[in-house]
Amino acid sequence: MEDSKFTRRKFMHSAGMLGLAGLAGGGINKALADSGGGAGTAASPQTATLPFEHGERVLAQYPQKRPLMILTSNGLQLETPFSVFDENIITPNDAFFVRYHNSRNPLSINGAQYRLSVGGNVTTSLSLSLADLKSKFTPVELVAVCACTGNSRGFNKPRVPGGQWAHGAMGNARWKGVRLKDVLDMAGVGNGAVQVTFNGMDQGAKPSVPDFVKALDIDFARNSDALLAYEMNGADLPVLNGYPVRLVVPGYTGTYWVKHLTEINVIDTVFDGFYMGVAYREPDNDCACVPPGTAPAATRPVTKPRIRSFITNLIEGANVAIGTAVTVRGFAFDGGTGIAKVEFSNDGGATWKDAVLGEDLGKYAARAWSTQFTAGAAGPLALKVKATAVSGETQPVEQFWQPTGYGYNPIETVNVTAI
Amino acid sequence: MHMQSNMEFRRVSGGRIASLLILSLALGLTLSACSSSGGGSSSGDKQQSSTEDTAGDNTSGGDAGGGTASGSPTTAVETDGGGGSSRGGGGGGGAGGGVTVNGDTISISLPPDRSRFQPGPPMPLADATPCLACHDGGDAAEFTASTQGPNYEVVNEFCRECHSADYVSSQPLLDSTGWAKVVKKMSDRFDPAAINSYLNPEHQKLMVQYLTTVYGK
Repeated sequence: MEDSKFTRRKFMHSAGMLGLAGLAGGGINKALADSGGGAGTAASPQTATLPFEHGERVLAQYPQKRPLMILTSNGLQLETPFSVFDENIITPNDAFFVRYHNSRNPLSINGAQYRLSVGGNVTTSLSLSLADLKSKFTPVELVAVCACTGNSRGFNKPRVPGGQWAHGAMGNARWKGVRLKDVLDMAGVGNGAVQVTFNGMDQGAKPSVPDFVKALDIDFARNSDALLAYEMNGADLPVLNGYPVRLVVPGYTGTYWVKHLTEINVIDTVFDGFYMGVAYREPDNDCACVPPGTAPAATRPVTKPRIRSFITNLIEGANVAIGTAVTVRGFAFDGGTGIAKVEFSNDGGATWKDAVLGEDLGKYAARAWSTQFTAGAAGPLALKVKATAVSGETQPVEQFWQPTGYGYNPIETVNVTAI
Repeated sequence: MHMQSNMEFRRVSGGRIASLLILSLALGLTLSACSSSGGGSSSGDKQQSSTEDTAGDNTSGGDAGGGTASGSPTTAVETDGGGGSSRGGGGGGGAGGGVTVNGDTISISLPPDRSRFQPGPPMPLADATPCLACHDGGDAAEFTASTQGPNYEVVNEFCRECHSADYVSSQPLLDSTGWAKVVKKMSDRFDPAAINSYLNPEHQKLMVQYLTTVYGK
């Protein structure tokens, strides 16, 4: 956050606290907290422990990345340490999370030879180079949150199998590219088109493993703000985040943001490949939820992330000084309508007050918030934050449970002690 | 699949496939059954890069055998993925490691996968699961002689063919029903044809037994 009122050092000094950066929800690793996301001593690997069973993670440095938490090494998944989210409302490229489904992700890419094919039910099939994308279309920039569909899955109660992320499978970046609809218009969508599929360079370990292919409804694809992005925060995409081009679907969960995009195909049916027809589906009912431990009667593809809000500068178990105004801050985002209100409570949710919202970077972006509170007496305080979207959507007290662990978004609590 | 000709991919290493071969021989599986796993043999014209770290595995001697068994036409290029000592000087916390740019080509090398399955508990020979794949003379001792515990090899080879061991070790503690669902999903969705060979129901049972014992509740 550029604004000085959000600077971390100032807050740390004024509040007289140490080691405030760290992981969300407890499980603080001192070395990690003190490192603030930079490299520590090279001798022994840094580790972090997320606050759930089997939450031990190694921090490792991958190409174009600062040390990130390894969730899985092959079928690579790297989680952003939560302390990063307190550094700036924009998530730096070198800290942005990585999520591949399959083990064969591209390791060497020639940008000059890159081609994006656009075919299927179109008037004119296209084969576009990176130079074509940059020169034949109007470039567009927008800030948007990319949040993994399964972000925070590890916090579900009861726990469910799947990628055991804490809150670090999300990031807020400025994306630059060309509009999907402009590319589709150049190709000319044919009559009877139903969906558009997107495929990238990554592949499964062997032919029987389903390729990672996603689909968008044709009306959405032709009317949304989806981009074919070739820049992220003013630089080329990191290889592990999809160089040279990735699909950016603002307001949709990260699963749709296909990396290393090479193939767009307009089809006349509803695509039923594994990652649409089987995986990334949620209960098809009003709450997109079922009683914990039960199975849904019917499912549908997950599309939008539920509204979330976080406290980023105070961590579980921190101490705060009595009688001193303590600044508390964080950010919120929703599925693409924008944040209308963020409320903060320092009494476990008994009373709430509106926080001050930071700069509006657009309806798809994370929205910074800050406020202050003063602890009047010694003892534990349950700090809570709750966001409300322009759409009216707000956060539940209790999680909506899904067997797949998607959509975790209850009001977050950070327990601190006033001393 | 529109693919660049000079693209490199991660893949299961020859060492892993060799290890599968060794296991298969130990189990008395036929070579054709092993090959049917398709491990790397159908990768077409793509150059491939192995990021496998064979140190710590006892299978590294079998690379040549693995290549032969899988019939792979590809070249496994050993790349030290910037892990270990090559990263020692990177104390600045920057993002420079493991990246090379050559003309229009950007290449990265990944740290090796260091995740491993935990050894299973020792089990008396009498309680060991029979070697169900041993159609032609193998016996249960092939499993129980392992220092890794019964059924470790089955999981280590079959699961790691497609993903690292930390996919398992990071899961919450599942009961046998939960692990059976996971194993069935991996079989049905990711290698359905193998139900007639190395992912047969008896092998799946062995895997569930190991996973429930070591990563279960």
